[in-house]
Amino acid sequence: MTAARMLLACALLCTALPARSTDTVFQIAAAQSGVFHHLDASGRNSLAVSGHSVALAWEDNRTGAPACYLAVKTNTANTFKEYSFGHGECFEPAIAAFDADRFLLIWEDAAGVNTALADSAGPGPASRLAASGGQGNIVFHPQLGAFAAWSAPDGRWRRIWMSALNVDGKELRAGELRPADATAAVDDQTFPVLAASPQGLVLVWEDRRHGHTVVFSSTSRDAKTWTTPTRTSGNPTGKAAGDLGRGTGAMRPALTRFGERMAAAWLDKRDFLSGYDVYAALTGQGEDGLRFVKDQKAQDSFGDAIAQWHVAAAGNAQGELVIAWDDDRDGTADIWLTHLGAAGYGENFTLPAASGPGAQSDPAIALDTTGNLHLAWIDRGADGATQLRYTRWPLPPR
Amino acid sequence: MQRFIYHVCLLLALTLMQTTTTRADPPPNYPFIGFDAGLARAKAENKPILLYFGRYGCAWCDHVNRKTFSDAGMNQLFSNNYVLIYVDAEGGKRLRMPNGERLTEAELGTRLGAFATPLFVFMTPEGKVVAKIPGFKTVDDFKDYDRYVRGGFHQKQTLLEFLGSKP
Repeated sequence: MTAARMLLACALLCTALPARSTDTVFQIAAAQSGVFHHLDASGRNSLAVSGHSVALAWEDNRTGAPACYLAVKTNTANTFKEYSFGHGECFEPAIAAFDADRFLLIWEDAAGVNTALADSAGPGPASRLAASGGQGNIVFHPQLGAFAAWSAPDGRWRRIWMSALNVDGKELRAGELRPADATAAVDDQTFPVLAASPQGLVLVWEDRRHGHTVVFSSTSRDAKTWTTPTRTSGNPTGKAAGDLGRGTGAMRPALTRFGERMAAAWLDKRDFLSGYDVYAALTGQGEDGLRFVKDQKAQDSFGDAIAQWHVAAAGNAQGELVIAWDDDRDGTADIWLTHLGAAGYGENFTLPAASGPGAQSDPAIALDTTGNLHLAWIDRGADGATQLRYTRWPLPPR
Repeated sequence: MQRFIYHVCLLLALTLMQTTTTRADPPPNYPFIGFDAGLARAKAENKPILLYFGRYGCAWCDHVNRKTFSDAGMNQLFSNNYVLIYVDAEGGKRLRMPNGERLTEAELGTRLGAFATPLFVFMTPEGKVVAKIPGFKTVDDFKDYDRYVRGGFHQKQTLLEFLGSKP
């Protein structure tokens, strides 16, 4: 075997992983002409696994206007059950695992920013968190409780707001509202994401206080005291040669716990000539489990010359971490993934079900405690019609 | 006293507007408007669209604003003959596409395959994309694009073919 053939064989093995007993691919929300499905939760938290159930939240316009939907199934069921929720036009629903087989929902609709509990019987009664705003995200910590974050106008700028959520029967009740940053906003704060680990809570968001978009974070061990917001993304601030601009961009952060640590991933334009790249920052070990250290590129070099979009992150209690996104390095948009190993981020790979002809984009991912990757995405045909798909795939050993 | 308060408020409002103008990234002194309003106006006035897809803080956007959009002739040509739309490449504001789909500004970048900013997108009055041009461009470049779009060459040639034929 020549060196070139060996290299080719290696590349094929690395990027086109065989279907390791992949489960069936489920189609959710049937494709219809003129109907557009969107998986666009803040943090890309559109999919969650709780107990033996998996649930997906999305928006589509099948009724003629954007509305929110929830699909739930148990691991062994053959179909998802679908429910609609929201009042009037509904956007950007996000979901998180709650206690066994229950979920937390947050969304934006005509009534404002709302939240609800959900289970296999569908969403419960909605509770309003704010009269205006959106880009909501939600999380549950077994000891500290449930928390929501969203972005809402506050005078001239958008600001990140947070609230604890108290469970009252089948409803959620908002606690006291607090801004993520006590200092008055000097530019927009958007797209917040929350995550919980045994160490506490982390909130990340997009922030334009430096005149360009960067990722900020704040953390708490007890949900009462939060750290002063600090910058998490290393995309440079400052003028380019010729006294031009204010800095490159970092947008749409995703956040997850893995083991006792946290991972934030986002789209980063520090290499501004070839679109966004996937960057990630991890927190340290032990006592530093809530403190992010220097970020680094998480994609491999084969994606450097093209744009990456829609970054999502998922981890589990066992310490597995997967980052997903879409790019068209193989000609059309496919879902690409990387799995963190002892030596760093592994080579990028696709799954047969979420790659190949047509466009597969907008991944939403979750990892269960047994190491199964749950993946939902949008499949777009040549005619532009969209279809939501879901599959489950056992992660190979690291 | 009421008059004094009125004038203070007016001064504050004007200062705020000035600050907004300074921080915003579209080139100053051009009638750039939002995506939905722009599509509606282009259709109503039967004018082609120049969509400026810029990123907040983008150095090359700053460069093209200072070097190219500062030209008075360029301003007159494009302000009079086009509907000018500005879209924030990382924005979360929702837009309504010509096919009815609702997207955020950033998601429009995905659909346009925007790998760099600024990205200039020329569209018909009905919102059909006829040319996508990334990066810094000169006034003369924009004059060529104008001839390609308003001259109707886009109906039979790609922009590259048009520019290659040196019309």
